[in-house]
Amino acid sequence: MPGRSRTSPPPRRHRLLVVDDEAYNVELVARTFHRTATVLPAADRAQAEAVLAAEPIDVALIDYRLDGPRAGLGTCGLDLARVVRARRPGAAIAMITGFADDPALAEALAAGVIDALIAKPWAPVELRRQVEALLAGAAAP
Amino acid sequence: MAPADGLFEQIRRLVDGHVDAAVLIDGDRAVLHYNLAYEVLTGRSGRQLAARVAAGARCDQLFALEVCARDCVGCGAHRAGRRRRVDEVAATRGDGEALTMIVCATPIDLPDGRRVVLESYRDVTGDVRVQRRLKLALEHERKLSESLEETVRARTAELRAAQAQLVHQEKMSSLGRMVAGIAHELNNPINFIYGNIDFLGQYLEDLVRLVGVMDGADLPPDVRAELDRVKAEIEYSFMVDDWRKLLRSIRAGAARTADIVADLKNFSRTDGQGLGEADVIGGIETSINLIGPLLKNRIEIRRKIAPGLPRVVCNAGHVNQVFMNVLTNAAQAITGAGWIEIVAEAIDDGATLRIAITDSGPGIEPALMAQITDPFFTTKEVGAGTGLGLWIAANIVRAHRGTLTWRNHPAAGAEFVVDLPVRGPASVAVSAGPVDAG
Repeated sequence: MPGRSRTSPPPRRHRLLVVDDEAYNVELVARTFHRTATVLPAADRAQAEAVLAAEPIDVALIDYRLDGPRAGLGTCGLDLARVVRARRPGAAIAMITGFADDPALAEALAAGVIDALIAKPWAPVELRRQVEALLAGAAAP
Repeated sequence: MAPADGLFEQIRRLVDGHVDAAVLIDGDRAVLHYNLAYEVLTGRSGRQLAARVAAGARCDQLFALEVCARDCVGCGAHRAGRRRRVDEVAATRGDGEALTMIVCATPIDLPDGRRVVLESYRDVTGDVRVQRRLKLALEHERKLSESLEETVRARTAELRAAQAQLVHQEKMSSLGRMVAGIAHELNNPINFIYGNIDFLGQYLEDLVRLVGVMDGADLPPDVRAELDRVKAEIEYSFMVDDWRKLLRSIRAGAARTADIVADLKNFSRTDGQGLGEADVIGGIETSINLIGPLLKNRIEIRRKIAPGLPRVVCNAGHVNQVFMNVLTNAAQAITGAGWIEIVAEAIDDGATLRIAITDSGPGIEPALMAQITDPFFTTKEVGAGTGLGLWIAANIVRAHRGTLTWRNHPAAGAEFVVDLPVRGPASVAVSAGPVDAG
C-alpha cells in the first residue's frame, strides 16, 4: 500500500531516470513516485541518452532486457548502465529484471556496474523502499 | 619278341613316360616296374630302390599310403578288374614329408593271362594346401564380414539412439526456451497489473473517504437529494462492500499468475550441466499441474510426502523431466478413473531422497519388464509415444548417481521408485548409454 505523508513533504524532489520499453511499467513507476520524485521516462537507449545530456539524475532504473525478447538481444540494460555510470558517476543505478538469477547480473553487481537488482514483478512499496535505500547510500560519503 | 612281351614292354615304356609317379605291380603287390618319379617319391636312390625291389619288397614297403594297410587300392583293382581311383589320400614321403595324393590303379590283362596293375600317384599336397588356405581365408573373410555387419548394426543402433536422445533433448531445450520466453513476456503485464492494484485500492479508499466526508457535511437539501439519487443509481452501498473483494480477487489472480510464471521459469531450467539445490517435490507438483489435462477429474493424486524433506543437489530441469515422464506414463496407463500415489521419504539416514510413484493401471506385462527403458520401446499406439520417456528418465537418474527401479505392485499397477542422492553427483552428463533394468 503506498504510504502517504501529507504533513511533511520531502525536502527535495529526487530525479529518477526510468528506462523501459514497456510504457505501462514506466507509468507505474511514475505513479509510485509522483509524490516524492520527478520521473524522467525513456523508452530506449537513445531517449535515455537524451535525458542524460539534458538533466541531472539521482537514480536510474533500467529494464535489463531493454529491447525485449522480440527485438532480439540488441541493447542490453547493462550497456546503458555503463553509459549512465560514465555520464553521471554520482547517480545510483538499479536494474529491473525478470532474470534476477542471471549470472551476468550478479557479476555486474559485484563489479559495481550496477548498485541494486530489482526482481520483476515488483510491488510499489518495495520499489519505493529500494530507491530510498539507494538514495541514502548515494547521499553517504 | 613274343606279342605278350611286346605289350608288357609297351606298358613299361608307358610307365617310364608317365609324368606322375607310376608303379607296375601284380596281385601280390610285387613291384614289376616303376618310373623315376616313383623313385623320387620313395626317397631312395635308384640303386637302393632297385636292390630292395630285387629283394622282393612290396610296393607298400617302398611307399606307403595310409589306405594301404587296410585296403590296397591296386589289389582292389586287381581283384575287380576295374579301375579304382582314390582322391586325397594321406601319405608320408621317404623324407618324412606329409603328402596328399590322388591314387589311380588300372588293371591290365596281359595276353599270357597275367593281370598287372598300373598304379599312379599324383602329389596334390600343394593344391590341397592352397585350397585349404583359400578355404580358411574365405571362412575368415566371411566371419570378418559377419562381425563387421554385426558391428555396423550395433553402431547404427547406438547412433540412432544417440540421435534420438539429441533430438529429444533439443526438443526439451526448445520447449524450455519457449517456456522461459513466455514466462518473461508474461512478467511485464504481471508487473503492471500487480503493481497498479495497490494504487487502485488507495484511490478507491480515498474516494470512499471523500464521500464519507460529504455524507457528514451540512449540505443544502437539493444537493443532498441529488447525492442520494446518484448513490441509489450506482448502488453505492453495494459498491463500497464489493470493491475490496473485487481487488482481492484481482490481486489473487495476479499472484497466482506470477507463481505459475515463476514455476515455469524454474521448470524450464534445463540449460547446461547446471547443478543446484532444488525442491524436487515442488518440481513434481509443477509436473502434476502441467499434465493436468491428462488427469482431468478422472485420476486422483494421492500424496504421502514426509515432512522436512531435504533439497537435492541436481539439475532441476532434468530431474523434473524424470517425474514428468513417469507421471505421464502412469496417467496414460490408467483407462477411466483411477489414482496415482506419490510417496516421498528420506532414506539412508537422510542421504537419499526416495520418490515412489504407483498407479492403479494394469501394470507392466511381465515379459516386457526388462525392456521398458530400451530406447524406442513403447506399448503405446504408433505416434502416441516416442518410446524415449523412460529411457531418458533412466539416463538422467543414472547421471545423478541415483537409481530407477520398477515392478508391478502386488495391490496396484506399476510402481516406479527413484532414489536420488541428496548431495548429488560431482557433475551431470546425461549420455545415451545402455540402461540397467531394475
